[in-house]
Amino acid sequence: MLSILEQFKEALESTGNDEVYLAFDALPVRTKGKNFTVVGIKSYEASAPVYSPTIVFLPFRAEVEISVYAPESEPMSELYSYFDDTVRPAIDGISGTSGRLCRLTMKHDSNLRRLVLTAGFSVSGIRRIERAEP
Amino acid sequence: MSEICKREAVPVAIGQLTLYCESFRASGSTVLYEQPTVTGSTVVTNKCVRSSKLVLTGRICAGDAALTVLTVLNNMNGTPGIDIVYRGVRFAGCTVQGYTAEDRGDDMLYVTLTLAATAPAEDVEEVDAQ
Repeated sequence: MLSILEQFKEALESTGNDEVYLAFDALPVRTKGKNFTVVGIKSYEASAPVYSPTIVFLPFRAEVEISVYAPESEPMSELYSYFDDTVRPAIDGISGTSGRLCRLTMKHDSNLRRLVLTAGFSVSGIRRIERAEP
Repeated sequence: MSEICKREAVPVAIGQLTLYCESFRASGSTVLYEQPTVTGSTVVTNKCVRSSKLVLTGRICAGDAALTVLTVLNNMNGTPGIDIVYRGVRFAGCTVQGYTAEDRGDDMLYVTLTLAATAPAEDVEEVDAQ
């Protein structure tokens, strides 16, 4: 799970998004910037493993959530612009025949008192587990 | 270690048309000619390797301009001697056996092209190295 999130974090950072955090980093919100991005996994589904003499391949599908947080007083248009400038290029770079943006929702988080723009990204991949003997 | 897939559609040049393939299927078969023996068992007297069937599927997104592809596809139908390379594998001397081009009303043309390949597939890197 962590390696999937790290790949998304790396992609987001490569497009100039400095404030990227993983969903379970347990850092207090006040230490994060005005606008920040959180990457988490909403769902994960593995299919039957594929075997080779030395490696077991586990294909999976997952939905990764990329949430952009902004102060609640910020206009929605600014949050959309921030998303388009810092998050969208990374998402476009990862998109392909097996991964794509599947939803985009805006909501108000009353606990954190923030506006949140959440992008759901449907992704597939393969988990590799090395094994000593066939 | 989990790795996410980042594959893009694969460009395949088919004559003057380049189709960005999102799906590719190759199938082959051999026909066995069987005869009964006097004891009632079966013996294979001959065999015939059928041509491989290659089905390439992709979408063309260019609004009304995509429909000009229809003319190209229509003219290509039945054309022999086409070489295609899909992800480093070359299929030489293919014949265009059929196509479908579907306009579903969303400014995209959904294209399926069926080719018949009689020559064996070749690894492009291996052939070029020789």
